[in-house]
Amino acid sequence: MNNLRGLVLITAQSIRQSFRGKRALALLFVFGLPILAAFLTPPTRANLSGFLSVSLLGFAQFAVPFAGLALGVAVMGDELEGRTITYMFTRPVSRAAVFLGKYFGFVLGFGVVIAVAMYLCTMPYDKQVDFTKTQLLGLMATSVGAFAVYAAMFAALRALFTRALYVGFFWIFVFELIVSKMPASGLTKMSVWHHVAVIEMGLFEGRSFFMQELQRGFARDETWQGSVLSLTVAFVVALAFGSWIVSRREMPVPAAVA
Amino acid sequence: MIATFDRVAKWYGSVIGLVDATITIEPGVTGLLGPNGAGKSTFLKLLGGQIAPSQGSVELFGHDPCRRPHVFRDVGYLPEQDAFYEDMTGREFVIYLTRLHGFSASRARKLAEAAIERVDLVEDSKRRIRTYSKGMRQRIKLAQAIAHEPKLLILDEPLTGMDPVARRRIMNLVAEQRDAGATVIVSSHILHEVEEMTNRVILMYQGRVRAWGMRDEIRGFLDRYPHKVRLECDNPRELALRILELPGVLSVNIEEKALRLTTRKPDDIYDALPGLVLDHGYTVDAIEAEDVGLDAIFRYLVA
Repeated sequence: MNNLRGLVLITAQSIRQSFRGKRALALLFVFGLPILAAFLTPPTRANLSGFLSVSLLGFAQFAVPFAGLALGVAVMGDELEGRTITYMFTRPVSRAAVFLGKYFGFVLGFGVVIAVAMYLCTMPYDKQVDFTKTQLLGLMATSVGAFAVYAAMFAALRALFTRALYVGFFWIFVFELIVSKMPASGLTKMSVWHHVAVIEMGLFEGRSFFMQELQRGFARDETWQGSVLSLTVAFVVALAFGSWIVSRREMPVPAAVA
Repeated sequence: MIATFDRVAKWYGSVIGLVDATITIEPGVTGLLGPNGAGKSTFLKLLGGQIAPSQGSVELFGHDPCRRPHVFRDVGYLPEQDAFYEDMTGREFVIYLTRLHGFSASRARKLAEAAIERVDLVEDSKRRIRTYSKGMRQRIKLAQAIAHEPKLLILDEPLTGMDPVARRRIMNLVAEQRDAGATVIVSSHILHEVEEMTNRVILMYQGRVRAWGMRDEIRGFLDRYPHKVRLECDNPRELALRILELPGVLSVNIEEKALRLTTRKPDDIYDALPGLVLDHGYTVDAIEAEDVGLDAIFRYLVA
């Protein structure tokens, strides 16, 4: 079996799987909240700041990482906890292809949802902000990219140990939240959200209302290109590490619950 | 060579899974026998590459199954656990897993349909797996294991949860696989199930391989346990006197129309009996070796 062919098959199956079950419903609800907030806030110039913090930043700081965590830990978690991993690991497909196939399936499946949700968030404010196509596409791509990075990080963590979900919650809702309020430092640069905000700042350069909201806590020399590079490196390293772990480590199937 | 275990040991922390197993799997059907916790699943997981040995080496078709997934091209695996992609239909499940063996969509569909037919699940194959009964789930698991026509079929407790008809069907299917030239390894903790499928066994107990090979050969090695033979005859008292003169006979118990004897040389009994019958005119209705069954062998081995 060609590993690439196996990867494509597993990806296609994972896309279908990502939209099934309670998790998919919960994620759709989480993405619905910032959209709802955007539509319920009166779209006036005075509300732009609120729109930014509630919809755009809320979306980037909560909904996207939450989805990345939920689906990232599910990449191996679903197969391990469902004890179906045995079927995958007794096929002539490398374990790295299984890991990557599951990962890309989830990311492609929900990536589309995230892009659409991001677009819907901006819709009520389109007239006030007058988004350019580049800005809109940039916002959508940044959200999907951030989701892909979070998912890769947490997929690798789940491959490494069982309690990745708790670590993920701590990372997103404690660590990233704290460092987002701190002045620029090496620590803030470890936060994915920090880089997302830098990229969004880059998208809206020259638009003063965005800058005021976004520029707190950033070093003057930070550029969106640097953040894109940082996220790309994090993405590649996380996927490579996850693939390596899955290929090298035993993946014990939990015992059945009687 | 199908599969070899060379001084394999596996520990889970301080718990022993398997100790010092050196085995060669021959073509044909091999039964893996032992009570729960004997190490059967560890043995099969090592063979299936799901876990790596702590010591020694496992080879499947000459390769390490943990590092070389391509060896699974010719392997069908039926796991013990009742695990499925519950939202799939039985048919989708088998097609998906068959396609992962490298078959095109149309070929995988044909193979899957043939396998589903063999396990007699055609009518229910378009229902979601979550609606299946225990026996149906076991059968669809078997279908995914045989669909790609593997050279080696690993069946971990395949008869669990099946009714007698389905059990018989699975046993026949194992025989068909063997006749088609496949090697089958089947684990069970129920001795007579394995006994019906094969004479070649691996007997495991407390993480150790106690014996492996043909059932009769294993029994032959257990010299310190005399063989028990039961003869049904018209004149047990007189026959008993003659038999006691034979070398190796240790004891004879007389019953109404039968006698039970213990001997270290059962072949001498079988050789001498026709002569005794002809010379003295006894009628012997049945001869039964009482402790060559797997349960007796197993009892002796773990004693």
